[in-house]
Amino acid sequence: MNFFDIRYGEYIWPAFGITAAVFALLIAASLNLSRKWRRRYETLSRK
Amino acid sequence: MIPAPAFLANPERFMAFSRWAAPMFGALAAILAVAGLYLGFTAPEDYQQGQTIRIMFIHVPAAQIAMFAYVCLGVASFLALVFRHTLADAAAQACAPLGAAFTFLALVTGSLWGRPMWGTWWEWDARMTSVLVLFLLYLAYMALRASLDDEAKAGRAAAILALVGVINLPIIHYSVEWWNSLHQGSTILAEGGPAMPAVFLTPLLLMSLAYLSAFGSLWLVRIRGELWRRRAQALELKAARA
Repeated sequence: MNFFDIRYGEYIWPAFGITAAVFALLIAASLNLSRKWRRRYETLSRK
Repeated sequence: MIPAPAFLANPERFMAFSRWAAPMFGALAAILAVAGLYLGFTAPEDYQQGQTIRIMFIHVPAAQIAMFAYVCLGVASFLALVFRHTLADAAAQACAPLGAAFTFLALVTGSLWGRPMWGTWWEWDARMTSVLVLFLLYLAYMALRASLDDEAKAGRAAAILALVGVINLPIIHYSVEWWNSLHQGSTILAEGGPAMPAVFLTPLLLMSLAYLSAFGSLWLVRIRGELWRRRAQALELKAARA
């Protein structure tokens, strides 16, 4: 199967692309949020 | 024996549990997604939908998790409202952005499937409209939480909104039965068993489990972040008062 020459590819690939982008954003945002506040808490608790 | 929810209601126990559970669910989600995508892309074309059947492997799980996340939001909001439990409130707050993201994915991938199959990007049909209402409920929940300076008041107001919004879940589920809808009825939970051959059902179930694991992992990470934030702000307040 040729992944890049499939019928309705103009609908299928954007669907997968948007899904991958949203997952990447969710993972990055969730990890950043958790790390940021954990560092903040650890800095404050050392003072 | 202590039941799991009561055991995890203690923030310290929750932090110890989520420290290993979050990456474990994340790894499980990756493995399941690789298997699901492989089987999804090697499955034959559907005789009616053709290649667009592949969009179903990401659309259906997104819609399932969009609704499941709202159930989680409703339960956490109820526990936060009735028992004033900090962890439940943090869980509700952490759940809403994830639910909104999965609902967004369900709407967008559904639209990308609808254009070639139905000939339209959008229809004000009962199923699609009720899912759009679900998306707006998530946004309203987040906006309400962000709109008040008093976090406790914001949490209570948002919890009431979340509980009122629970009425939308049966509407979404039964919309295809109650009204004439362009959207198809239940396929996996159809009477007499799944109305789908195993060659499509297997990747769909794998992807559903992958999305569920991913949601579990991200939710745990976000709850941890929310607990760290509250602890940090409590220390800041203590330092300001000293």
